[in-house]
Amino acid sequence: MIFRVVEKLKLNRILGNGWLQYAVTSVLVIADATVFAVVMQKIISKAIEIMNKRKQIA
Amino acid sequence: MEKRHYGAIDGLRMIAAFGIAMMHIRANSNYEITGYVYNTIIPSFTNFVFLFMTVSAFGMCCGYYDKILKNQVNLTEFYGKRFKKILSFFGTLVLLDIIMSPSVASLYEGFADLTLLFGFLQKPISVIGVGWFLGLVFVFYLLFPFFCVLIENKRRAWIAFAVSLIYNFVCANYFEVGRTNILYSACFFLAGGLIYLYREEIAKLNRWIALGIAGCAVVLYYLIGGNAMICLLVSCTLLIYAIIKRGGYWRTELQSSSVASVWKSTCPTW
Repeated sequence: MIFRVVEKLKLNRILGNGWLQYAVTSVLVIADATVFAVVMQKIISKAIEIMNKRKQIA
Repeated sequence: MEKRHYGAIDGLRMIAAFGIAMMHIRANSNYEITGYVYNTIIPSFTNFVFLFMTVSAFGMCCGYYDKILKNQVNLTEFYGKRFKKILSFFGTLVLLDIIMSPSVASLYEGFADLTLLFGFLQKPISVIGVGWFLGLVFVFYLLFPFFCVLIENKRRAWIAFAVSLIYNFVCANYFEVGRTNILYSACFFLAGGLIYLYREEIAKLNRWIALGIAGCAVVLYYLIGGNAMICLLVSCTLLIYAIIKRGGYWRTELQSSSVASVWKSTCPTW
């Protein structure tokens, strides 16, 4: 999914067709996927925490 | 009893996750790159999934093996935790994927994805296609109490492992199923279970000898080719090395379970 976003932004072509571009694409995808995973996990765990608190109050 | 944290296994997960991402990027691009590294080594990173299977089984055994065998686990909580851990994140990805490329087929597949039971299907799924590993590992979670009984003692575990090796051969040569099938992949999970049973003995082994053996296994992989047995050997030797190394450079301040779940979440996000 992150790769598709990188592809749509044409970031997988800006530096040509060789090793440098491959390395840049790999770093971009891995970094973005890691950030996305960490942020989403924080959001989801916060949402679950809020839901559990509401359950306890109810 | 002291709860051990195998920090090096988190490092192993990270290497495997990066390797799989690099393989996917190569497969989805058409860069004009040639050479052994690009054409042979990077595509071979696909087999890091077998390492994930072995590590997953070992990790699950660390958390639940004793509790399951002593009947100290509430199965509702056990399965609920598995669902909550995977579904919240994977479900978000599936919904995003359906929004990005809507169709009736993606709705059907999205439904199967959201049940997390798609590992039982024989048809490959294209909505978060790389999430097949989550489907497989969820089947493993469902079978985990049975898995614990299979490895209740070392003798039974070795017998089960031998049977799983035969299953792997039969699946590949007769039933024509591959790594997405639990019976094909059972030997990797059971290898993780066996390593768990011998973890105390393994921890006493020399780190450098283990590293040398892991290195030899990797070289052998590239000399012979990536068949299941060599993948099993590489996965086991790497996991054994990580167990001996334990803390080391890859030790993190995060809880092991949270690191594992971040890597598990990172994989289908490419």
